[in-house]
Amino acid sequence: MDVTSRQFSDKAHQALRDTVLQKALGHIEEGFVEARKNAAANLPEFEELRDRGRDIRAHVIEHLGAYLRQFEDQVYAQGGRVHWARDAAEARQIVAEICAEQGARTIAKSKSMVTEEIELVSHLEAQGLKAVETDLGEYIIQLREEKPSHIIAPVIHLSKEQVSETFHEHHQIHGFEDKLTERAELVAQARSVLRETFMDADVGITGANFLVAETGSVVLVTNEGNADLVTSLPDTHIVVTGIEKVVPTLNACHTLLRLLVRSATGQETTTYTSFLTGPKRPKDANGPSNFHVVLVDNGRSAMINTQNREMLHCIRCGACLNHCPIYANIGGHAYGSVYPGPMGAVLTPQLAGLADSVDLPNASTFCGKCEAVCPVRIPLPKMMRHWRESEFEQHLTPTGMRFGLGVWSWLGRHPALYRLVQRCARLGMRVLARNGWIKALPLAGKGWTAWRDMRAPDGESFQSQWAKRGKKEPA
Amino acid sequence: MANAREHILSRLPDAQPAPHSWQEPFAPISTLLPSDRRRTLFADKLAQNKATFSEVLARKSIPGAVARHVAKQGYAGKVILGQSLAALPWDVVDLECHWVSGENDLPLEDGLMMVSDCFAAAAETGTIITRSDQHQDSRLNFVARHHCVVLDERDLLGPYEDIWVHMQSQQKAMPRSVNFITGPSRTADIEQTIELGAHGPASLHIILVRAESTRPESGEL
Ligand code: SF4
Repeated sequence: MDVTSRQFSDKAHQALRDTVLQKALGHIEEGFVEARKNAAANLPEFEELRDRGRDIRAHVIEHLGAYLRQFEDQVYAQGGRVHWARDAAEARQIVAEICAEQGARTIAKSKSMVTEEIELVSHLEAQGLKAVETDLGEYIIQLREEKPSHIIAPVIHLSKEQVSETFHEHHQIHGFEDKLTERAELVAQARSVLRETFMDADVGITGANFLVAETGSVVLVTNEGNADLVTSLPDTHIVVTGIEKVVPTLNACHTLLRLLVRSATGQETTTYTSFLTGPKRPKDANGPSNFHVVLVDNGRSAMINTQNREMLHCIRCGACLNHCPIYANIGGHAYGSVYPGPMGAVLTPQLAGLADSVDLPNASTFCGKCEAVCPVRIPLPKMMRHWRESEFEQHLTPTGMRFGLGVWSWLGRHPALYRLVQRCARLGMRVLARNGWIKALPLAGKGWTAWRDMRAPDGESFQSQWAKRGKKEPA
Repeated sequence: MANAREHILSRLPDAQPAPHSWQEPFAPISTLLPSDRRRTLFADKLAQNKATFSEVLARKSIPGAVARHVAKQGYAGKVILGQSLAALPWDVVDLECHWVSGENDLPLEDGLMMVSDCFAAAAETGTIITRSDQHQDSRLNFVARHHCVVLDERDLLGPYEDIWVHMQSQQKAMPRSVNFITGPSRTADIEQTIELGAHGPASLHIILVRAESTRPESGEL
C-alpha cells in the first residue's frame, strides 16, 4: 500500500489553514457524532450488542481458516468461484483476468475500501478499461482525481460549491451545460450520468461488508442503491474483499449490522442491505451469470500473531474517525493513507510499514474516545501505544524527541530534581499564562501553540496532592 | 494462483469452531410484539425512514390502492407491474399498465413507477424484504423512480432474524439475492445532508394487505 504519511505534519498544518476544509469538517459533529449518540440511546441492547459483536469478531479470527473454507465451499456449491490473493498485485491481476475473460470494456464499481487499498481502479484503467465509481462520493473523488478522506463519507472534505464546479467541468460532455447550485440538482445529475454507466457495464465490482460462512453470502450495505445496480445489471459480479470479513452465521451478521450502521451514520439500518449468494439460478428472472469472490490477504494474515490482531475485528464503521479530535480538525487527507483517523493510525503502519507512517500513531491525544465508541470495542489507544514503543525500539523517533524522552526518564529516576524542575516549570507557565491559557511556549517551538493554546497548570501538582492525602486512595 | 490459497490458509488459525451462544437469534426486545403492535411499529418505522404506507382489506383492492398512490404522486406515465401481481383486477382502474413477463421485459429507463410484491417485512426498522426467483426480477427494486410494494400482513415479522426462519419454512436453498429495503434511496455524501433518490427509487410506498384475523369487522380502509 502506497502512502504519503511522511508528509503528515506539513499536511496537517495545511489542513488547519484551509478554511473550506475547516467548514466542511464542521458537519461531522451533527451529521455523525450526534446521530450515533441518539441511535445508541434508542436501542436499550446497544452495549450488550457491542459485547456480542466483539465476541463474534474475536471468535471468527480465532477460527479464520475454518470459516473461510466453509464460506468457499458454500460459494462453490451455489455456482460461484473464490480466488485467493496474497497481495495487492495478485488481487489486481485476478480481477483483470476475469475482466479479460468476459471481454469487458466498462466496469461499474461500488464503494470498497479494499479496492482503494489495492488501487484497483487505476490499475484497471491502465489496462484500457473504463472503470467508474458509482457511489456518489467516490464518483466525485474519481472525477477530481483525489483520494477519499473518510472511510464511509469519501467527500466529507468538500463543499457543495466544489462539487458543483467538478460536475460543471465533467458533465458538459453529457449535455449538462448549466452550473448547479442546489444539492438535489447535483444528486439528480449524477444519477442521470451514472445510469448510463450501469446500463453499459459488462462487469460490476463491489467490496463486501460481511461474508457469511454458513450460506456463502456476500453482504453489502448502501444508502444509495448503487451496489444493487452494480450487482444486478452487469452479467458478471466480482467481489473484492479482505479475508477478515467473514462471519459465521446470518444471525451473527445481523448483530454486527445493527452495530455497524448505528455507529457509522446513526441510522438504525441503511436503505439497502443485500445478501448476494452465487450467480443467477437457471430459472431466475434475472441476475449476473458469473459470481466471483476475491479474498485478499495483503498483510492481514501477518497481523494474527501480533499485538495488532484485534485490528482484524474492525468492521469499518468510521466511528473512531468521527469522534477523534485530531481527525475532526485536519480531515483524512493529512494522514496520507486510505485508512485515516485512529483505525488508520493502527492499520497503516501494519500495511505500509512503520517507517513510512510513524507520525500516525503519534497523532493522538489518547483521549480514548475512539475506543469508547468502537462498536466492537477495539482498544485503539493501546495499539497506538504499541506502535510508539516499536518506533522507539526501531530508532525511528527523531533525535530531539529521543533526547527529550531521555532527559525525562533520567529526571524520573531523580525525584528531588524532578520536583524542582516541575516547580520551576509550573511557575514559568503561570507567568506566561493569560486567563489560564498559554498562547506561546518558548521551548516547544512554534508548532505546538500555532493552532492551539496550552492550559496553564491549575491548582497543585499531583504529587503534592498525593502527599497531602497521606498517600491513600481517595474514598 | 492455487498456491496463494494454501499459502494464506497455512497462516491462519484453523481449529473447527464449536457451536456458539450467538448462533441463537438476538432480537431487540422492542421487536417482539403481538400483531397489532407490530403493525404500528412497522408504520412508525416506515414514516421515520421516509416511506409512505396504506392498507387494504383484500388483494383485490390492490389496484385501487396503486391508483390512489399514483394520483397522489402526480405520476402520469405507465405503471410497471411485477409478474406476481398480474392476476389482480387491473381493469377496474384507469392506469396504463405494463406487466413484466420475462427476463428481458423489464424497462430499465429512469423515471418509472414500478409495483412489486415482497416476501416478508421486518417491523424492527420498517424494512421490506424481497428475494430473487423466477417471478421476481430484482432489478425492479432499484431501477424504479417510484417503487410501490405489496406486503401481505402474514409476512410482517418482528426482528430481522425471523426473516430467515420464515424463508426456510418456504424454501431450503438460499436465493441468489435477498434484499432488505428501508425507505427510498438516499445519499448524504454532499455536506452530510440527506437527499432522496440517489440511484434507486426516490419514493417508496408500501401497501399492506391485512390478514383475515386482524381485519376490522366492517368498513373499507
Ligand atoms: S476501529 Fe472500531 S470504530 Fe474504528 S472503524 Fe473499526 S470498528 Fe469502527
